Amino acid sequence: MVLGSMRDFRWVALLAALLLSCSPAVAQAADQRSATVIGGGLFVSKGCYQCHGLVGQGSLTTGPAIAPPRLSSSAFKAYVRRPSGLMPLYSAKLLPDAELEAIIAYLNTRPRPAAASQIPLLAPFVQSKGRQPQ
Amino acid sequence: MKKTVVNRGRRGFLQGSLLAGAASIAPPALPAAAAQGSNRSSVEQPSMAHAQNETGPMPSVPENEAQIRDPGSDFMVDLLKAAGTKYVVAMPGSTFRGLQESIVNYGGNKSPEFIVCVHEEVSAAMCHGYAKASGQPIACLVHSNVGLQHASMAIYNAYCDRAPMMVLAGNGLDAATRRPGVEWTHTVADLGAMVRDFVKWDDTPVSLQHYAESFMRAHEMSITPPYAPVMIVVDSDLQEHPVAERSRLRIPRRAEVSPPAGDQRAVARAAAVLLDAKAPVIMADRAARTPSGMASVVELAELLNAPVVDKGGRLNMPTNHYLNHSFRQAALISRADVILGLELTDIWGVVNSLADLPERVARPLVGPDVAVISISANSGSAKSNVQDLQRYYAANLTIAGDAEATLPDLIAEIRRLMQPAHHAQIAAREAPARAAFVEMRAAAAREAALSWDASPIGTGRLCMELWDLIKDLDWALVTSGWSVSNWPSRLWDITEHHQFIGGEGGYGVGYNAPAAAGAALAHRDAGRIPVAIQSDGDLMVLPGTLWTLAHHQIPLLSVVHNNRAWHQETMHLTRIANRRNRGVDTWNVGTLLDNPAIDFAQMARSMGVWAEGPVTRPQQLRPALSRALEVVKAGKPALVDVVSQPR
Repeated sequence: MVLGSMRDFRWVALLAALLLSCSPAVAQAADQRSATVIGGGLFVSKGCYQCHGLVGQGSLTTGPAIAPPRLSSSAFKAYVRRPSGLMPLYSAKLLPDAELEAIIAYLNTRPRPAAASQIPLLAPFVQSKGRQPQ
Repeated sequence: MKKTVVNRGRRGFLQGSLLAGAASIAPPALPAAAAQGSNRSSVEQPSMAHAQNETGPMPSVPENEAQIRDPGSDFMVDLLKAAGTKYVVAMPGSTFRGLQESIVNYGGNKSPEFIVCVHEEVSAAMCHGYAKASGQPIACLVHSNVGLQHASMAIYNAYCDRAPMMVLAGNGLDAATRRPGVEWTHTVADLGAMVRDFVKWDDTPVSLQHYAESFMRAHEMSITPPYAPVMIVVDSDLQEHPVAERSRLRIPRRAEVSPPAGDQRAVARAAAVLLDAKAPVIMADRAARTPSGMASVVELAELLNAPVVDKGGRLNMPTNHYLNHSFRQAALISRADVILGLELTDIWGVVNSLADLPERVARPLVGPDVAVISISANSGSAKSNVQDLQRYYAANLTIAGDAEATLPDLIAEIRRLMQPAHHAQIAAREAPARAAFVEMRAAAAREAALSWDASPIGTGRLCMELWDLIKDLDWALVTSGWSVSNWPSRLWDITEHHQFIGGEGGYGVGYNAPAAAGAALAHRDAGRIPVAIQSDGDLMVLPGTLWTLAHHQIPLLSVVHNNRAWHQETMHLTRIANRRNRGVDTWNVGTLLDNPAIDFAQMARSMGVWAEGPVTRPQQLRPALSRALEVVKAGKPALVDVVSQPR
């Protein structure tokens, strides 16, 4: 699902909140695609995208790239519960385990971006000797 | 320039009136009784005396006392011209109606030319941007206290950014001549008090000669490093009353300013320390006021093979130079043994970290034995109330002097002291520096690739598509890039001083659009293509800037980085709510610029600016930018609204 606007994200976030407020059995019954959609909505509604970008790409000034996650699922969860640096702490109250797992599932299903070497405007910087300075 | 008064006299006026009216006006018919009853005996026969009265020279008639010749504001225009002021920027206001009229009718609306804006903050910010792009100050006119309050944010930004500008503020000092009502609410007793904390100097002249001397003093102060805004109050009566004795007025010469340079002995000490350093780092912020300054930074860096971290206050180092290591700051300073700050605003913040955490604990980022040298015109110059000097740091060697003016002496001293052993140590730093530079840029390119095909559009994609279209033109970037992850500084080849305007100064929101417009005005005179990467929230503060661009035909390509939010504040709200363990999903209350989404293209078009958008898919981006660029090349402003990633 391509989430092209904040309105899309908010709609999905509402859906996510609704589904997750249902019984654990209902959440368990959701298929992988629903989990991805729900995870994407949570990724926005919980504010993760603010620092990590809408596709988990990160940015120079706000936070690292996390799509796909570079940490194992357990390490990822541990970090969210006890981050270092400027990342806000997400307690289980703010982000229950089920929601955190949905977010991780969403990040794991993000399509791999093209390598810089495959992009004409970026390739000169990453070729064997790189873009030579003056 | 003397004004010639054409005095047609009453006779000429009457003659003209008669000739104009004769063909259309039938003579009135006399009543029959009057015609018959006229007493011919009471009418004198015409005589030579009568003929003389009708055809001789007119008797002397006093000038209409409501007309004023040689108003004081004409003299004020003489001063603007003497100071080389190319533009005066203003939203019209009655307290400077005299000066405005003189600029147009006495000065010919040329040098200075009157640039009209819809808000005084636009006026002042345009002066800020123009000064940075051209190296020369221009003036803004503000309407007494209410206009100055509007302008004050932009004046503050310029002060923090050390940019020169002349603020001329109308005011009605004589209470006995103020009309009741608004002339009182639009006057203050001490207009300078409103901005005294963030102008270098202000004065309220009470005579035209006083005005002349204060104007020139203010101009001189503004362009003496550290540059800063200055203000002169322009009394309404001084503007509108006639000059009593023109021959007694003198326009002071325009001063040639020699910027303060560092003490020679201190410079010699700095040279010795730098030569002996094994891992020197140069950190430059507002060092390069001019292209010569940038050339000096490059020369110094190459002389020492010292990496330069350009903090972006100005363009201090070409971005494609192997010694530009601006995005390796953390690694460099942790290993540095000598740090040279050149107009470095925040030394404390460079060598320490103080994170936005509940407990604000400072942590050093440098080794214990690092030596810090500071060269800055700000040393010993401060305003008590304004806190832009940042936290106090006692450098090992503080040289009070303008960095650009001091660098030639420092370079000369290094050359004088350099020994063969120094050569070998310095040469050994080159290869690792080149390799690190290449990897720094490669890392940036890999990061840009991560959101290359994303929608909303990745900021890396936005910046690189734009770069590819302008790189072979005579271009200039008239906004900083911090809101788009600094992609221009990381991946563009910015090699000329004029190609990058630098940072915002006070970071007061609303700066970008009008400062870009002012810079674009300067670049128009130089025949360049200016481009701005304009944040959406920032543009909404002063969107009327777009009208000025259209009205004055100022070519500028504005690319709106539209993340539909005050994004910095979304992060602040999330941080503070999480810290309080509540409201994790309410960060969007009061932080989003959405619902409805603003149609920036429609807004721009409503003010006469060619525009397209919203552009939401990356495939649409390049064609839209290309079309917009053609408009700008034709000499007009253009805007493209790009819905983009947050950073």
